[in-house]
Amino acid sequence: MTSLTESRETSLDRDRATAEDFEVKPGLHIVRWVVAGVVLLFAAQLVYGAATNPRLSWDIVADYFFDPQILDGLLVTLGLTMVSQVLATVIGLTVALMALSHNPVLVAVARIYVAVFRTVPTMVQMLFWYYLAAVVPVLSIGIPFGPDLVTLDTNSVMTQFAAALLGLALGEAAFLAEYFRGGIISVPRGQIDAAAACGLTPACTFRRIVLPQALRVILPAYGNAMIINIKNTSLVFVIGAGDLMTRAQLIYSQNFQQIPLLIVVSGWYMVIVLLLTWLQRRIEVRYSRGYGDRPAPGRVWSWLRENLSTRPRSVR
Amino acid sequence: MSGSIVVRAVGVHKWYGDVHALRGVDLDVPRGSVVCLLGPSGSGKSTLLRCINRLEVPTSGGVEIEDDCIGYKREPGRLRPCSSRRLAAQRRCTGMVFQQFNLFAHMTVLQNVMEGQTSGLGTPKAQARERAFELLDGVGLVDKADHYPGHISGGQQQRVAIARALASNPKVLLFDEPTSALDPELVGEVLAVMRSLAQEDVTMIVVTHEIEFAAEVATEVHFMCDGSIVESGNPRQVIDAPQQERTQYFLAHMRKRRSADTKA
Repeated sequence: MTSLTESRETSLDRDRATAEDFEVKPGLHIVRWVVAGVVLLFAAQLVYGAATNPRLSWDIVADYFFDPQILDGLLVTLGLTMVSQVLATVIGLTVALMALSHNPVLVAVARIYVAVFRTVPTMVQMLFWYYLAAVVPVLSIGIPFGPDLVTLDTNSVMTQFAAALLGLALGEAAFLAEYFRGGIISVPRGQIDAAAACGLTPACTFRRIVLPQALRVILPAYGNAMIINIKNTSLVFVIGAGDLMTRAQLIYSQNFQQIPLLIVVSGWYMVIVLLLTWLQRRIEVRYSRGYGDRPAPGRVWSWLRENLSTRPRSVR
Repeated sequence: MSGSIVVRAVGVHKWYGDVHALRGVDLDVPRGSVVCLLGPSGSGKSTLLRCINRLEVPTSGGVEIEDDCIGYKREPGRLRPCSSRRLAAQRRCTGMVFQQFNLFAHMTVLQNVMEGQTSGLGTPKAQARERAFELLDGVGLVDKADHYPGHISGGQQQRVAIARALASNPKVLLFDEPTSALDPELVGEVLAVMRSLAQEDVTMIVVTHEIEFAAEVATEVHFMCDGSIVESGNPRQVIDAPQQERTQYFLAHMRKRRSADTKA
Protein backbone atom coordinates (compact mmCIF):
# COMPACT_ATOMS: atom_id res chain seq x y z
CA MET A 1 0.00 0.00 0.00
CA THR A 2 2.73 2.40 0.95
CA SER A 3 4.71 1.64 -2.15
CA LEU A 4 1.66 2.41 -4.28
CA THR A 5 1.14 5.82 -2.73
CA GLU A 6 4.84 6.50 -2.96
CA SER A 7 4.98 5.76 -6.65
CA ARG A 8 1.93 7.91 -7.20
CA GLU A 9 3.63 10.77 -5.35
CA THR A 10 6.81 10.49 -7.36
CA SER A 11 4.85 10.57 -10.58
CA LEU A 12 2.91 13.55 -9.32
CA ASP A 13 6.13 15.29 -8.32
CA ARG A 14 7.22 15.57 -11.88
CA ASP A 15 5.56 18.26 -13.90
CA ARG A 16 4.85 16.07 -16.90
CA ALA A 17 5.99 12.87 -18.58
CA THR A 18 8.87 13.22 -21.00
CA ALA A 19 9.57 11.24 -24.13
CA GLU A 20 12.10 9.12 -22.19
CA ASP A 21 9.31 7.76 -20.00
CA PHE A 22 7.91 6.01 -23.05
CA GLU A 23 11.18 4.52 -24.25
CA VAL A 24 10.82 0.76 -24.53
CA LYS A 25 13.72 -1.58 -23.94
CA PRO A 26 13.73 -4.23 -26.67
CA GLY A 27 12.80 -7.66 -25.26
CA LEU A 28 15.10 -10.69 -25.44
CA HIS A 29 12.55 -12.94 -27.22
CA ILE A 30 13.86 -16.00 -25.36
CA VAL A 31 10.93 -18.22 -26.41
CA ARG A 32 11.42 -17.21 -30.01
CA TRP A 33 15.10 -18.20 -29.93
CA VAL A 34 14.38 -21.52 -28.23
CA VAL A 35 11.64 -22.46 -30.71
CA ALA A 36 13.83 -21.49 -33.64
CA GLY A 37 16.70 -23.56 -32.19
CA VAL A 38 14.53 -26.67 -31.74
CA VAL A 39 13.09 -26.41 -35.23
CA LEU A 40 16.56 -25.96 -36.74
CA LEU A 41 17.80 -28.98 -34.80
CA PHE A 42 15.06 -31.20 -36.23
CA ALA A 43 15.69 -29.82 -39.70
CA ALA A 44 19.41 -30.51 -39.39
CA GLN A 45 18.71 -34.11 -38.33
CA LEU A 46 16.41 -34.55 -41.35
CA VAL A 47 18.93 -33.14 -43.83
CA TYR A 48 21.80 -35.11 -42.30
CA GLY A 49 19.77 -38.31 -42.39
CA ALA A 50 18.81 -37.80 -46.02
CA ALA A 51 22.34 -36.92 -47.04
CA THR A 52 23.98 -39.90 -45.36
CA ASN A 53 21.33 -42.58 -45.96
CA PRO A 54 23.09 -44.98 -48.37
CA ARG A 55 19.76 -46.37 -49.63
CA LEU A 56 18.88 -42.99 -51.13
CA SER A 57 21.86 -43.51 -53.48
CA TRP A 58 22.70 -39.91 -54.24
CA ASP A 59 25.33 -41.07 -56.70
CA ILE A 60 22.61 -42.66 -58.84
CA VAL A 61 20.53 -39.50 -58.54
CA ALA A 62 23.52 -37.51 -59.79
CA ASP A 63 24.09 -40.00 -62.63
CA TYR A 64 20.55 -39.80 -63.89
CA PHE A 65 19.88 -36.08 -63.32
CA PHE A 66 21.28 -35.16 -66.75
CA ASP A 67 20.61 -38.51 -68.39
CA PRO A 68 19.64 -37.95 -72.08
CA GLN A 69 16.41 -39.91 -71.60
CA ILE A 70 15.47 -37.83 -68.59
CA LEU A 71 16.32 -34.61 -70.46
CA ASP A 72 14.15 -35.78 -73.39
CA GLY A 73 11.34 -36.34 -70.94
CA LEU A 74 11.95 -32.92 -69.44
CA LEU A 75 11.53 -31.33 -72.89
CA VAL A 76 8.21 -33.14 -73.38
CA THR A 77 7.06 -32.00 -69.92
CA LEU A 78 8.05 -28.40 -70.65
CA GLY A 79 6.41 -28.48 -74.09
CA LEU A 80 3.24 -30.01 -72.68
CA THR A 81 3.18 -27.45 -69.89
CA MET A 82 3.70 -24.44 -72.11
CA VAL A 83 1.27 -25.40 -74.87
CA SER A 84 -1.44 -26.52 -72.44
CA GLN A 85 -0.96 -23.35 -70.37
CA VAL A 86 -1.37 -21.10 -73.42
CA LEU A 87 -4.37 -23.10 -74.59
CA ALA A 88 -5.92 -23.02 -71.11
CA THR A 89 -5.35 -19.27 -70.85
CA VAL A 90 -7.04 -18.57 -74.18
CA ILE A 91 -9.98 -20.87 -73.47
CA GLY A 92 -10.24 -19.64 -69.87
CA LEU A 93 -10.34 -15.99 -70.88
CA THR A 94 -12.91 -16.74 -73.57
CA VAL A 95 -15.13 -18.63 -71.13
CA ALA A 96 -14.77 -15.83 -68.54
CA LEU A 97 -15.80 -13.20 -71.10
CA MET A 98 -18.73 -15.39 -72.16
CA ALA A 99 -19.82 -15.72 -68.54
CA LEU A 100 -19.71 -11.91 -68.17
CA SER A 101 -21.47 -11.15 -71.47
CA HIS A 102 -25.05 -9.97 -71.79
CA ASN A 103 -25.94 -12.89 -74.04
CA PRO A 104 -27.85 -15.48 -71.96
CA VAL A 105 -26.88 -18.32 -74.32
CA LEU A 106 -23.17 -17.56 -73.92
CA VAL A 107 -23.57 -17.26 -70.15
CA ALA A 108 -25.27 -20.67 -69.98
CA VAL A 109 -22.64 -22.33 -72.18
CA ALA A 110 -19.85 -20.84 -70.04
CA ARG A 111 -21.47 -22.09 -66.84
CA ILE A 112 -21.95 -25.59 -68.22
CA TYR A 113 -18.34 -25.66 -69.44
CA VAL A 114 -17.02 -24.73 -66.01
CA ALA A 115 -19.34 -27.19 -64.27
CA VAL A 116 -18.32 -30.10 -66.52
CA PHE A 117 -14.57 -29.56 -66.83
CA ARG A 118 -14.08 -28.62 -63.21
CA THR A 119 -15.60 -31.89 -62.08
CA VAL A 120 -13.94 -34.50 -64.32
CA PRO A 121 -10.51 -35.45 -62.93
CA THR A 122 -7.57 -34.63 -65.20
CA MET A 123 -6.41 -38.23 -65.50
CA VAL A 124 -9.88 -39.47 -66.42
CA GLN A 125 -10.11 -36.74 -69.05
CA MET A 126 -6.78 -37.69 -70.59
CA LEU A 127 -7.86 -41.31 -70.90
CA PHE A 128 -11.18 -40.24 -72.32
CA TRP A 129 -9.56 -38.11 -75.03
CA TYR A 130 -7.07 -40.86 -75.75
CA TYR A 131 -9.86 -43.35 -76.36
CA LEU A 132 -12.00 -40.84 -78.28
CA ALA A 133 -11.76 -42.89 -81.45
CA ALA A 134 -13.89 -45.56 -79.80
CA VAL A 135 -16.78 -43.11 -79.65
CA VAL A 136 -16.08 -40.82 -82.59
CA PRO A 137 -14.01 -42.71 -85.18
CA VAL A 138 -13.96 -39.84 -87.64
CA LEU A 139 -13.57 -36.15 -86.86
CA SER A 140 -15.09 -33.76 -89.36
CA ILE A 141 -15.22 -30.02 -89.54
CA GLY A 142 -18.17 -28.56 -91.39
CA ILE A 143 -21.55 -26.92 -91.05
CA PRO A 144 -23.59 -28.33 -88.15
CA PHE A 145 -26.13 -30.82 -89.54
CA GLY A 146 -24.78 -29.84 -92.98
CA PRO A 147 -21.94 -30.98 -95.25
CA ASP A 148 -18.44 -31.75 -93.93
CA LEU A 149 -15.51 -29.68 -95.14
CA VAL A 150 -12.56 -31.53 -93.58
CA THR A 151 -12.57 -35.13 -92.41
CA LEU A 152 -9.86 -36.69 -90.23
CA ASP A 153 -9.26 -40.09 -88.73
CA THR A 154 -9.58 -39.64 -84.97
CA ASN A 155 -6.78 -42.06 -84.14
CA SER A 156 -4.26 -40.17 -86.28
CA VAL A 157 -5.21 -36.82 -84.69
CA MET A 158 -5.51 -37.98 -81.11
CA THR A 159 -1.88 -38.83 -80.40
CA GLN A 160 -0.72 -39.31 -76.83
CA PHE A 161 0.57 -35.76 -76.82
CA ALA A 162 -2.70 -34.33 -78.15
CA ALA A 163 -4.80 -36.28 -75.66
CA ALA A 164 -2.56 -35.19 -72.82
CA LEU A 165 -2.77 -31.61 -74.02
CA LEU A 166 -6.57 -31.59 -74.17
CA GLY A 167 -6.92 -33.26 -70.80
CA LEU A 168 -4.61 -30.72 -69.16
CA ALA A 169 -5.77 -27.58 -70.96
CA LEU A 170 -9.54 -28.06 -70.88
CA GLY A 171 -9.53 -28.86 -67.18
CA GLU A 172 -7.28 -25.98 -66.21
CA ALA A 173 -9.23 -23.58 -68.44
CA ALA A 174 -12.31 -24.15 -66.29
CA PHE A 175 -10.40 -23.02 -63.20
CA LEU A 176 -8.71 -20.13 -64.98
CA ALA A 177 -12.10 -18.94 -66.28
CA GLU A 178 -13.25 -18.52 -62.69
CA TYR A 179 -10.05 -16.69 -61.68
CA PHE A 180 -10.35 -14.37 -64.67
CA ARG A 181 -14.03 -13.70 -63.98
CA GLY A 182 -13.28 -12.90 -60.35
CA GLY A 183 -10.44 -10.56 -61.32
CA ILE A 184 -12.50 -8.74 -63.90
CA ILE A 185 -15.49 -8.12 -61.62
CA SER A 186 -13.13 -6.84 -58.92
CA VAL A 187 -12.37 -3.72 -61.02
CA PRO A 188 -14.62 -0.92 -59.72
CA ARG A 189 -17.47 0.21 -61.97
CA GLY A 190 -16.20 3.81 -61.76
CA GLN A 191 -13.04 2.88 -63.70
CA ILE A 192 -15.18 1.66 -66.61
CA ASP A 193 -17.40 4.76 -66.43
CA ALA A 194 -14.34 7.00 -66.50
CA ALA A 195 -12.87 5.15 -69.48
CA ALA A 196 -16.17 5.45 -71.36
CA ALA A 197 -16.36 9.14 -70.49
CA CYS A 198 -12.82 9.58 -71.87
CA GLY A 199 -14.02 8.21 -75.20
CA LEU A 200 -12.49 4.74 -75.07
CA THR A 201 -14.36 2.00 -76.91
CA PRO A 202 -15.47 -1.02 -74.83
CA ALA A 203 -12.71 -3.19 -76.32
CA CYS A 204 -10.09 -0.56 -75.58
CA THR A 205 -11.46 -0.08 -72.06
CA PHE A 206 -11.06 -3.79 -71.42
CA ARG A 207 -7.53 -3.91 -72.76
CA ARG A 208 -6.18 -0.70 -71.26
CA ILE A 209 -8.15 -0.21 -68.04
CA VAL A 210 -9.90 -3.39 -66.87
CA LEU A 211 -7.42 -6.14 -67.70
CA PRO A 212 -4.29 -4.51 -66.18
CA GLN A 213 -6.16 -3.90 -62.93
CA ALA A 214 -7.77 -7.34 -62.98
CA LEU A 215 -4.35 -8.96 -63.48
CA ARG A 216 -3.25 -7.71 -60.10
CA VAL A 217 -5.98 -9.85 -58.56
CA ILE A 218 -5.66 -12.74 -61.03
CA LEU A 219 -1.89 -13.28 -60.98
CA PRO A 220 -1.41 -15.02 -57.61
CA ALA A 221 -4.16 -17.53 -58.41
CA TYR A 222 -2.93 -17.87 -61.99
CA GLY A 223 0.56 -18.73 -60.81
CA ASN A 224 -0.91 -21.35 -58.52
CA ALA A 225 -2.94 -22.88 -61.34
CA MET A 226 0.13 -22.98 -63.55
CA ILE A 227 2.16 -24.81 -60.92
CA ILE A 228 -0.64 -27.33 -60.47
CA ASN A 229 -0.69 -27.73 -64.25
CA ILE A 230 3.04 -28.42 -64.39
CA LYS A 231 2.71 -31.13 -61.81
CA ASN A 232 -0.41 -32.53 -63.48
CA THR A 233 1.67 -33.23 -66.58
CA SER A 234 3.14 -36.14 -64.60
CA LEU A 235 -0.29 -37.81 -64.92
CA VAL A 236 0.30 -38.37 -68.63
CA PHE A 237 2.25 -41.52 -67.77
CA VAL A 238 -1.15 -43.29 -67.86
CA ILE A 239 -1.22 -42.84 -71.64
CA GLY A 240 2.56 -43.03 -72.03
CA ALA A 241 3.16 -39.60 -73.56
CA GLY A 242 6.91 -39.79 -72.88
CA ASP A 243 7.21 -37.01 -70.32
CA LEU A 244 9.69 -36.78 -67.45
CA MET A 245 7.68 -39.11 -65.21
CA THR A 246 7.10 -41.69 -67.97
CA ARG A 247 10.82 -41.80 -68.76
CA ALA A 248 11.77 -42.19 -65.13
CA GLN A 249 9.28 -45.03 -64.83
CA LEU A 250 10.74 -46.73 -67.88
CA ILE A 251 14.23 -46.48 -66.41
CA TYR A 252 13.40 -47.77 -62.94
CA SER A 253 11.31 -50.64 -64.35
CA GLN A 254 14.63 -51.90 -65.72
CA ASN A 255 17.12 -51.04 -62.98
CA PHE A 256 14.73 -51.08 -59.98
CA GLN A 257 16.17 -47.82 -58.62
CA GLN A 258 12.74 -46.33 -57.94
CA ILE A 259 13.63 -43.92 -55.14
CA PRO A 260 16.66 -42.25 -56.79
CA LEU A 261 14.73 -41.75 -60.02
CA LEU A 262 11.73 -40.32 -58.23
CA ILE A 263 14.15 -37.92 -56.55
CA VAL A 264 15.47 -36.93 -59.99
CA VAL A 265 11.90 -36.27 -61.17
CA SER A 266 11.06 -34.25 -58.03
CA GLY A 267 14.30 -32.30 -58.41
CA TRP A 268 13.42 -31.22 -61.92
CA TYR A 269 9.87 -30.26 -60.98
CA MET A 270 11.31 -28.24 -58.13
CA VAL A 271 13.69 -26.40 -60.46
CA ILE A 272 10.87 -25.52 -62.87
CA VAL A 273 8.46 -24.43 -60.16
CA LEU A 274 11.04 -22.31 -58.34
CA LEU A 275 11.98 -20.54 -61.57
CA LEU A 276 8.34 -19.84 -62.31
CA THR A 277 7.68 -18.65 -58.78
CA TRP A 278 10.49 -16.15 -59.14
CA LEU A 279 9.08 -14.98 -62.47
CA GLN A 280 5.58 -14.70 -61.01
CA ARG A 281 6.78 -12.49 -58.16
CA ARG A 282 8.43 -10.13 -60.61
CA ILE A 283 5.29 -9.86 -62.72
CA GLU A 284 3.16 -9.36 -59.61
CA VAL A 285 5.30 -6.44 -58.50
CA ARG A 286 4.85 -4.86 -61.92
CA TYR A 287 1.06 -5.12 -61.79
CA SER A 288 0.72 -3.84 -58.25
CA ARG A 289 2.14 -0.45 -59.20
CA GLY A 290 -0.01 2.39 -57.96
CA TYR A 291 -1.63 0.38 -55.19
CA GLY A 292 0.84 0.96 -52.40
CA ASP A 293 0.63 -2.75 -51.65
CA ARG A 294 3.61 -4.30 -50.03
CA PRO A 295 5.64 -5.95 -52.71
CA ALA A 296 5.25 -9.70 -53.01
CA PRO A 297 6.31 -11.53 -49.83
CA GLY A 298 9.94 -10.77 -49.15
CA ARG A 299 12.98 -12.96 -48.86
CA VAL A 300 13.64 -15.35 -46.03
CA TRP A 301 16.58 -13.35 -44.79
CA SER A 302 14.74 -10.09 -44.35
CA TRP A 303 11.97 -11.98 -42.61
CA LEU A 304 14.45 -13.58 -40.23
CA ARG A 305 16.11 -10.23 -39.58
CA GLU A 306 12.81 -8.61 -38.79
CA ASN A 307 11.28 -11.34 -36.68
CA LEU A 308 14.19 -12.86 -34.81
CA SER A 309 16.24 -9.80 -34.08
CA THR A 310 16.21 -8.25 -30.64
CA ARG A 311 16.40 -4.79 -32.09
CA PRO A 312 13.17 -2.77 -32.11
CA ARG A 313 11.29 -3.43 -35.34
CA SER A 314 11.56 -0.76 -37.97
CA VAL A 315 8.30 1.10 -38.43
CA ARG A 316 6.84 0.78 -41.90
CA MET B 1 -31.46 24.45 -83.89
CA SER B 2 -29.72 27.59 -82.80
CA GLY B 3 -25.93 27.35 -82.94
CA SER B 4 -25.49 28.74 -79.49
CA ILE B 5 -27.03 25.68 -77.81
CA VAL B 6 -24.35 23.08 -77.03
CA VAL B 7 -26.36 20.47 -75.17
CA ARG B 8 -30.06 19.86 -75.60
CA ALA B 9 -31.94 17.19 -73.67
CA VAL B 10 -35.43 16.49 -74.93
CA GLY B 11 -38.09 14.61 -72.97
CA VAL B 12 -35.63 12.40 -71.13
CA HIS B 13 -37.30 9.64 -69.13
CA LYS B 14 -35.40 7.05 -67.12
CA TRP B 15 -36.89 4.03 -65.40
CA TYR B 16 -34.97 1.73 -63.09
CA GLY B 17 -37.39 -1.16 -62.81
CA ASP B 18 -40.40 0.42 -61.08
CA VAL B 19 -38.59 3.63 -60.17
CA HIS B 20 -39.24 6.60 -62.43
CA ALA B 21 -35.94 8.46 -61.95
CA LEU B 22 -36.36 11.05 -64.68
CA ARG B 23 -39.81 12.24 -65.71
CA GLY B 24 -39.44 13.91 -69.06
CA VAL B 25 -36.64 16.41 -68.54
CA ASP B 26 -35.92 19.15 -71.09
CA LEU B 27 -32.73 21.12 -70.81
CA ASP B 28 -30.93 23.60 -73.08
CA VAL B 29 -27.35 24.54 -72.33
CA PRO B 30 -26.04 27.61 -74.21
CA ARG B 31 -22.38 27.82 -75.20
CA GLY B 32 -20.15 29.30 -72.52
CA SER B 33 -22.74 28.93 -69.79
CA VAL B 34 -22.31 27.36 -66.38
CA VAL B 35 -25.45 25.41 -65.60
CA CYS B 36 -25.86 24.20 -62.03
CA LEU B 37 -28.27 21.41 -61.16
CA LEU B 38 -29.43 21.60 -57.55
CA GLY B 39 -31.79 19.44 -55.60
CA PRO B 40 -32.12 16.84 -52.87
CA SER B 41 -30.38 13.51 -53.29
CA GLY B 42 -32.39 11.07 -55.36
CA SER B 43 -33.94 13.87 -57.38
CA GLY B 44 -32.33 12.66 -60.62
CA LYS B 45 -29.54 15.26 -61.06
CA SER B 46 -26.74 12.73 -61.48
CA THR B 47 -28.89 10.47 -63.65
CA LEU B 48 -29.62 13.39 -65.97
CA LEU B 49 -25.93 14.23 -66.15
CA ARG B 50 -25.04 10.60 -66.93
CA CYS B 51 -27.71 10.54 -69.65
CA ILE B 52 -25.93 13.42 -71.38
CA ASN B 53 -22.84 11.33 -72.17
CA ARG B 54 -24.92 8.14 -72.23
CA LEU B 55 -23.32 6.43 -69.26
CA GLU B 56 -27.02 5.88 -68.58
CA VAL B 57 -29.26 5.10 -71.53
CA PRO B 58 -32.49 7.12 -71.35
CA THR B 59 -35.60 4.94 -71.43
CA SER B 60 -37.10 7.47 -73.81
CA GLY B 61 -36.19 10.89 -75.08
CA GLY B 62 -32.67 11.84 -76.10
CA VAL B 63 -29.73 14.18 -75.90
CA GLU B 64 -28.12 16.21 -78.65
CA ILE B 65 -24.67 17.74 -78.48
CA GLU B 66 -24.25 20.30 -81.22
CA ASP B 67 -27.05 18.66 -83.22
CA ASP B 68 -25.43 15.21 -82.92
CA CYS B 69 -27.80 12.79 -81.28
CA ILE B 70 -25.78 10.88 -78.66
CA GLY B 71 -25.89 7.13 -79.19
CA TYR B 72 -27.57 7.35 -82.57
CA LYS B 73 -26.82 7.78 -86.21
CA ARG B 74 -29.21 9.95 -88.17
CA GLU B 75 -30.53 8.28 -91.29
CA PRO B 76 -33.08 9.84 -93.64
CA GLY B 77 -36.29 10.01 -91.69
CA ARG B 78 -35.18 8.11 -88.58
CA LEU B 79 -32.49 7.39 -86.01
CA ARG B 80 -30.55 4.16 -85.68
CA PRO B 81 -28.45 3.07 -82.70
CA CYS B 82 -24.81 3.75 -83.59
CA SER B 83 -21.70 1.63 -83.15
CA SER B 84 -19.73 1.66 -79.92
CA ARG B 85 -16.86 3.25 -81.85
CA ARG B 86 -19.05 6.17 -82.91
CA LEU B 87 -20.50 6.49 -79.42
CA ALA B 88 -16.95 6.71 -78.06
CA ALA B 89 -16.23 9.51 -80.55
CA GLN B 90 -19.42 11.32 -79.49
CA ARG B 91 -18.44 11.00 -75.85
CA ARG B 92 -15.19 12.79 -76.60
CA CYS B 93 -17.34 15.92 -77.11
CA THR B 94 -17.94 15.75 -73.36
CA GLY B 95 -15.59 15.52 -70.42
CA MET B 96 -16.75 14.17 -67.10
CA VAL B 97 -15.57 14.68 -63.54
CA PHE B 98 -16.88 12.16 -61.02
CA GLN B 99 -17.70 12.40 -57.34
CA GLN B 100 -15.22 9.60 -56.56
CA PHE B 101 -12.56 10.98 -59.01
CA ASN B 102 -12.27 7.58 -60.75
CA LEU B 103 -8.69 8.14 -61.85
CA PHE B 104 -7.19 5.05 -63.45
CA ALA B 105 -5.52 3.50 -60.42
CA HIS B 106 -2.79 1.65 -62.32
CA MET B 107 -1.59 4.71 -64.24
CA THR B 108 0.39 7.74 -63.17
CA VAL B 109 -1.17 11.18 -63.15
CA LEU B 110 0.46 11.92 -66.51
CA GLN B 111 -0.74 8.64 -68.06
CA ASN B 112 -4.26 9.37 -66.81
CA VAL B 113 -4.34 12.65 -68.70
CA MET B 114 -2.75 11.08 -71.81
CA GLU B 115 -4.93 7.95 -72.01
CA GLY B 116 -8.01 9.51 -73.65
CA GLN B 117 -5.81 11.19 -76.23
CA THR B 118 -3.60 8.22 -77.15
CA SER B 119 -6.13 5.38 -76.88
CA GLY B 120 -9.25 7.36 -77.75
CA LEU B 121 -8.19 9.97 -80.29
CA GLY B 122 -5.05 8.23 -81.55
CA THR B 123 -2.89 11.26 -80.79
CA PRO B 124 0.86 10.51 -81.03
CA LYS B 125 2.43 9.98 -77.61
CA ALA B 126 4.79 12.95 -77.68
CA GLN B 127 1.99 15.32 -78.58
CA ALA B 128 -0.37 13.85 -75.96
CA ARG B 129 2.38 14.21 -73.38
CA GLU B 130 2.91 17.85 -74.21
CA ARG B 131 -0.81 18.56 -73.99
CA ALA B 132 -1.05 16.62 -70.72
CA PHE B 133 1.70 18.74 -69.18
CA GLU B 134 -0.08 21.91 -70.34
CA LEU B 135 -3.29 20.73 -68.69
CA LEU B 136 -1.51 19.68 -65.50
CA ASP B 137 0.12 23.09 -65.43
CA GLY B 138 -3.36 24.60 -65.66
CA VAL B 139 -4.45 22.77 -62.50
CA GLY B 140 -1.08 23.33 -60.82
CA LEU B 141 0.02 19.70 -60.62
CA VAL B 142 2.98 19.36 -62.99
CA ASP B 143 5.15 18.25 -60.07
CA LYS B 144 2.81 15.30 -59.39
CA ALA B 145 2.94 14.00 -62.98
CA ASP B 146 4.76 10.78 -62.04
CA HIS B 147 2.70 10.03 -58.92
CA TYR B 148 0.03 7.38 -58.79
CA PRO B 149 -3.50 8.51 -57.85
CA GLY B 150 -3.36 6.59 -54.58
CA HIS B 151 -0.42 8.70 -53.45
CA ILE B 152 -1.92 12.20 -53.77
CA SER B 153 -4.71 13.94 -51.86
CA GLY B 154 -8.37 13.86 -52.84
CA GLY B 155 -8.29 17.49 -53.93
CA GLN B 156 -5.26 16.85 -56.11
CA GLN B 157 -6.92 13.75 -57.58
CA GLN B 158 -9.98 15.76 -58.50
CA ARG B 159 -7.83 18.44 -60.16
CA VAL B 160 -6.13 15.70 -62.19
CA ALA B 161 -9.59 14.40 -63.09
CA ILE B 162 -10.48 17.86 -64.39
CA ALA B 163 -7.29 17.96 -66.48
CA ARG B 164 -8.15 14.51 -67.82
CA ALA B 165 -11.68 15.61 -68.70
CA LEU B 166 -10.30 18.60 -70.62
CA ALA B 167 -7.82 16.52 -72.62
CA SER B 168 -10.10 15.78 -75.57
CA ASN B 169 -11.08 19.46 -75.98
CA PRO B 170 -14.68 18.71 -75.06
CA LYS B 171 -17.56 21.00 -75.96
CA VAL B 172 -19.03 20.62 -72.49
CA LEU B 173 -17.71 19.55 -69.10
CA LEU B 174 -19.95 17.48 -66.84
CA PHE B 175 -19.31 17.66 -63.10
CA ASP B 176 -21.03 15.07 -60.91
CA GLU B 177 -20.83 16.41 -57.33
CA PRO B 178 -17.12 17.10 -57.74
CA THR B 179 -16.53 18.22 -54.16
CA SER B 180 -18.86 15.90 -52.22
CA ALA B 181 -16.20 13.27 -51.47
CA LEU B 182 -13.58 15.79 -50.36
CA ASP B 183 -12.51 16.86 -46.90
CA PRO B 184 -13.77 20.40 -46.23
CA GLU B 185 -10.31 21.97 -46.46
CA LEU B 186 -9.77 20.48 -49.93
CA VAL B 187 -13.03 21.74 -51.47
CA GLY B 188 -11.60 25.22 -52.12
CA GLU B 189 -8.80 24.15 -54.49
CA VAL B 190 -11.22 22.24 -56.73
CA LEU B 191 -13.77 25.05 -56.79
CA ALA B 192 -10.97 27.48 -57.65
CA VAL B 193 -10.08 25.45 -60.75
CA MET B 194 -13.75 25.30 -61.75
CA ARG B 195 -14.10 29.06 -61.25
CA SER B 196 -11.18 29.75 -63.55
CA LEU B 197 -12.67 27.43 -66.18
CA ALA B 198 -15.92 29.36 -65.96
CA GLN B 199 -14.00 32.57 -66.58
CA GLU B 200 -12.50 31.02 -69.72
CA ASP B 201 -16.08 30.47 -70.95
CA VAL B 202 -15.88 26.69 -70.82
CA THR B 203 -19.41 25.30 -71.02
CA MET B 204 -20.12 23.38 -67.83
CA ILE B 205 -22.99 21.43 -66.31
CA VAL B 206 -22.45 21.05 -62.59
CA VAL B 207 -24.38 18.85 -60.20
CA THR B 208 -23.54 20.27 -56.79
CA HIS B 209 -24.55 20.93 -53.24
CA GLU B 210 -22.27 23.98 -53.05
CA ILE B 211 -25.02 26.62 -53.05
CA GLU B 212 -22.57 29.51 -52.69
CA PHE B 213 -20.53 28.32 -55.64
CA ALA B 214 -23.70 28.07 -57.73
CA ALA B 215 -24.82 31.54 -56.67
CA GLU B 216 -21.46 33.01 -57.58
CA VAL B 217 -20.49 31.19 -60.78
CA ALA B 218 -23.64 29.78 -62.40
CA THR B 219 -25.27 31.53 -65.31
CA GLU B 220 -28.30 29.28 -64.96
CA VAL B 221 -29.62 27.22 -62.09
CA HIS B 222 -32.11 24.38 -62.35
CA PHE B 223 -33.72 22.96 -59.26
CA MET B 224 -34.66 19.31 -59.58
CA CYS B 225 -37.06 17.29 -57.48
CA ASP B 226 -38.47 13.78 -57.96
CA GLY B 227 -37.07 13.43 -61.47
CA SER B 228 -38.26 16.75 -62.85
CA ILE B 229 -36.87 20.26 -63.14
CA VAL B 230 -39.25 22.27 -60.96
CA GLU B 231 -37.64 25.69 -61.15
CA SER B 232 -35.15 27.34 -63.52
CA GLY B 233 -33.60 30.74 -63.94
CA ASN B 234 -30.55 32.78 -63.11
CA PRO B 235 -29.07 32.23 -59.64
CA ARG B 236 -30.54 35.43 -58.29
CA GLN B 237 -34.02 34.22 -59.13
CA VAL B 238 -33.69 30.59 -58.07
CA ILE B 239 -31.32 30.84 -55.12
CA ASP B 240 -32.17 34.26 -53.67
CA ALA B 241 -35.88 34.38 -54.47
CA PRO B 242 -37.21 30.89 -55.12
CA GLN B 243 -40.88 30.71 -56.11
CA GLN B 244 -41.53 26.99 -55.61
CA GLU B 245 -42.19 25.65 -52.16
CA ARG B 246 -39.84 22.66 -52.65
CA THR B 247 -37.00 24.96 -53.68
CA GLN B 248 -37.55 27.24 -50.70
CA TYR B 249 -37.61 24.29 -48.33
CA PHE B 250 -34.44 22.76 -49.78
CA LEU B 251 -32.46 26.02 -49.76
CA ALA B 252 -33.55 26.88 -46.24
CA HIS B 253 -32.47 23.43 -45.14
CA MET B 254 -29.07 23.77 -46.84
CA ARG B 255 -28.50 27.22 -45.31
CA LYS B 256 -29.37 25.93 -41.87
CA ARG B 257 -26.83 23.13 -42.25
CA ARG B 258 -24.28 25.56 -43.60
CA SER B 259 -24.61 27.94 -40.66
CA ALA B 260 -24.47 25.00 -38.25
CA ASP B 261 -21.24 23.94 -39.96
CA THR B 262 -19.64 27.36 -39.72
CA LYS B 263 -20.66 27.72 -36.07
CA ALA B 264 -19.07 24.37 -35.31
